[in-house]
Amino acid sequence: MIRDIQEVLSRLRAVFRRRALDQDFDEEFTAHIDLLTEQNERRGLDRQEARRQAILQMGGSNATKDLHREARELPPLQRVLDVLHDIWRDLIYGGRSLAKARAFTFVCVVTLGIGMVPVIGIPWASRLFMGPPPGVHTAGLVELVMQARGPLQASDRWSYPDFADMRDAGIGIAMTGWVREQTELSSKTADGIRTERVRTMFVSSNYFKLLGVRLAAGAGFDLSADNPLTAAPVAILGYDGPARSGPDLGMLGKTLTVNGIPHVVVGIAPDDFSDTVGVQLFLPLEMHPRLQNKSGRYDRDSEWMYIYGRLSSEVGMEQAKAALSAVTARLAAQYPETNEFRAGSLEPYDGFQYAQRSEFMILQSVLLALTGMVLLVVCLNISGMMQVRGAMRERELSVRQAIGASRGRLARYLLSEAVILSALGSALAMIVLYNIPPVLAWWIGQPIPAEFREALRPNLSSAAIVVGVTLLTSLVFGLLPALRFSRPAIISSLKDDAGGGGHRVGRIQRVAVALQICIAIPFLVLSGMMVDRVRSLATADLGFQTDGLAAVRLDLDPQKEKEQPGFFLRSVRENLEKASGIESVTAADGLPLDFSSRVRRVAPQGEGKFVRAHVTRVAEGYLDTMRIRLLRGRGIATEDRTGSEQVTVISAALADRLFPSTATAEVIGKRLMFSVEDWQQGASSGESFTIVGVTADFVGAEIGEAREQVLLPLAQHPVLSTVFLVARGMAGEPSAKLTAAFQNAVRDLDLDFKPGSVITGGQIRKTSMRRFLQQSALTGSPGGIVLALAALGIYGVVGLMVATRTREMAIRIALGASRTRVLSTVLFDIVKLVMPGVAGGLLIALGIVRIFREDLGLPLSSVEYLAYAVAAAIAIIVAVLASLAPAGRAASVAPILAMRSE
Amino acid sequence: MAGEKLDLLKGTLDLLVLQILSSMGPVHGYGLARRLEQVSGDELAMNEGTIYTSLVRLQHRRLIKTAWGTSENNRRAKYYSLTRAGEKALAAEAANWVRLTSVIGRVLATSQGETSQ
Repeated sequence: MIRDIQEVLSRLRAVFRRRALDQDFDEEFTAHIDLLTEQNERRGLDRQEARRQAILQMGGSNATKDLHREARELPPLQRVLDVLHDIWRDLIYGGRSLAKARAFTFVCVVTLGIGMVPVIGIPWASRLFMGPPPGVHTAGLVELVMQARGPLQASDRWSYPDFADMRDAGIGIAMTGWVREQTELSSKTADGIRTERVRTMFVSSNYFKLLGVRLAAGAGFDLSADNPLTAAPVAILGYDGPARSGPDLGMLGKTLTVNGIPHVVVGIAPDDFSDTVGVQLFLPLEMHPRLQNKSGRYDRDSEWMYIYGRLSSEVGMEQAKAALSAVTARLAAQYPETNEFRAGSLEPYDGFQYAQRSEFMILQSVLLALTGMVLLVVCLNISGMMQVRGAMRERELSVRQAIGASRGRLARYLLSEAVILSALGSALAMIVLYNIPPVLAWWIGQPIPAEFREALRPNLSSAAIVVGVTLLTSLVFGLLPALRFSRPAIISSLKDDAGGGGHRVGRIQRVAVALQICIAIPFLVLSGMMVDRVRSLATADLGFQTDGLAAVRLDLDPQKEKEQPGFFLRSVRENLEKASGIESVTAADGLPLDFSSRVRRVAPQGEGKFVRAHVTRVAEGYLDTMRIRLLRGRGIATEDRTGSEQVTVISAALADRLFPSTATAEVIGKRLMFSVEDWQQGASSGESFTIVGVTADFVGAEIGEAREQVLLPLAQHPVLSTVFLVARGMAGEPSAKLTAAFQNAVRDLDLDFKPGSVITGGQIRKTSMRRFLQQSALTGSPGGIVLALAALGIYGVVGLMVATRTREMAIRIALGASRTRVLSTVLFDIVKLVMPGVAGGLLIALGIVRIFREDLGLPLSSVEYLAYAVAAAIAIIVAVLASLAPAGRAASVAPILAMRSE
Repeated sequence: MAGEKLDLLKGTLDLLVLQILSSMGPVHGYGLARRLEQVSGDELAMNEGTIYTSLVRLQHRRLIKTAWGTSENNRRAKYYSLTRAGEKALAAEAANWVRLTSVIGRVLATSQGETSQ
């Protein structure tokens, strides 16, 4: 082998030294001809004839040189083609024999596919986040970062005053600041005013110019946008939201209402750029809500914005870094209380934000390692199955060897089967990968985002990943069987059909099976507990009464709401209250089970212990209409309007979390505050809310969600965009009547109202349940997949075990053991094989459940032990089922076949 | 058949070259050709150029090594000599050849015996 490699290398060297070697040989050849010519002359030929004869004796000048070169260099194309042809023939033959073993092939391909999906998928998915957005000039582009120093960690976020100081320092770095936010964009459509939350980026006026991105249309922001005194409400449009119709060039110069303020569109960003950065709207940085008051503008303490810079052509990276750190050092001296440890530096821009890059790399490698482990387990299983197959085909392999196939030849053939299997597996994985986004899109009911389509577009690197994973995988699971069965024991194999043995089941495989069972059991236990959670939640009290409830979503016109706050809502409400058959009416900015998360963090006033709670703004009569039980105090009432005391009503679950050792009655009158980041709009940071009532628990946005709730008066926190009007019909009234009442009430004020938009309580309950079941199915499926993999592993090991012990079994049968007895021996062995795994798995599951049960939201009840028992039982039953077929095969061996070889 | 020259069997030229190098020590291509002509009694039908392809093959397999030197007529010439691996290979190949020819000889003898019976 080494000699072959040496020869190939030596030939390869000759290819590269062709000219020198040709010259050498020319010289040698000429000398030889000269000597021959002299010899011929001595024989009496004249000089010309002597030379002619000499060349003839050599076999011609050019022919000899060609021959020499051919012998010297790599084998000509024909021989390469011959080798390729051999490989191709092996592949064809391997394909044919796999096609005959359909079940084996199917199982291998499916498991390989399952194992390969994440391994191939992760590098593909990471392309979503890599590389600069289209159109960005990266040369000289940098990100300003803060180095880790003193108590500070490395970061890429800056305060606004620091940004302004560095930008104006004139150190040869042009800087642009930016930050992502959500804003509310209202637009007039045929159906009235539509308000949606859009992904917005607040940027300095030079943002696009600095990145090198040309706007698709319009002049963009001018310098006045960077001046707080002259900044006007202007906007640059990105891509057109989820509809993906692309930016509309006709929008240039038109007006958009953002957060209730009209903005003039002064530019259209290129579609591909804004699509990749995921921004629908660009607004001037100076219009950011934080900069609208003095305290925000001069607050050096909070770091919330990012800075990109471009080096001017005469400034080098090191020089720029030095200049920047001089500026931050000056700021540190000037504002020691905030800036003492802040030291600026530069990182070249590569499309990634500095802080995300290392986290992303770590995450990616952890994920790759985990999924690689899964694939390795899959490979071990398939390796086991291939060995079973090899053991069963030992006779065929022996015949091939007996008629002259070399070991290398057999190994190559066995490997080519592995290559075919893994190629089919990766093809399956790719089919799955390509179909995940469309299926998800269909499930969620939204189109596929462009960046996903971009990441799925095939290119050289993704093809290389697929080919690499395929070949590596085939080598990992194919090499062991190939080496083992390319050396069959010819004589014993040719003599009998019964598998004489000589190959023992490897320890690696036994351990692998035990390990897989060990991994599968915790998954099974957790899945079992999830199922129990679904059951208990499905039957649990929602905390409000859905029957007889109807609601309608109203989109408000922000402009009108500014002029006459609440007028429209009040009018509709009064109309509805007058209708017959309506018991009560209320309004809220969300409904229970509406899937819209309005989670904020709250704490008792003066304490830093924040708890997550679901916040709903409601009108008076909310508790009555929803039939939510009031435990103490009062609900939100008419007197809670603007100017009066800020009040709130909380659920018992939240009261327990916030004031654990306080009786419910004493919670009334205590004060509550929101975390600063969560309550930017409307209220200033110090504001607190008096608790005036405590309700019984009721569900939040989804059935499975925690039941910590905060209710705030709608009148004190007016909504500009969307509210729900909720009504309860009198007992016994048909729901059709309720719907009709709604239509009449709204139609008087809103001509575009569509009757179909009335939601009934029953519908809410049903959709919510369906969605919860879907989610539970998703969480339970990993357990099933792991168990299926483990079953395959068991099948492989047991099959090999049985195939190699056939003769022993035949002897037992011959000595009078019944087939049932043999079968039970094998099954007992299987149980012995999986028992350590079951025990280990149960211990791990116990640990996980005990440690993480709060995070996982698991109920700890009598079901816990049942879940362990069921998981262990399922694992053992699956193991026994997986081994039944090979065990049955062993028990049905005719003794004479097995004994003949002795 | 007499008078016609013999074609060399495939692979045997390498063996002959190794043997000549072993007996003569370092020698150049022309010398090899002459020696081969001499010991074979001019009975082999072969272009002298093919000796060089054989030399290249042996070189690739590290059985011989080369060095530039000066020939008897004061010209620059490439001298070939055996390596240690070459000596081993020659011993193995020669033994193999002797066995092969004796087997073939025996087989031919019996079949001639059968036909003569």
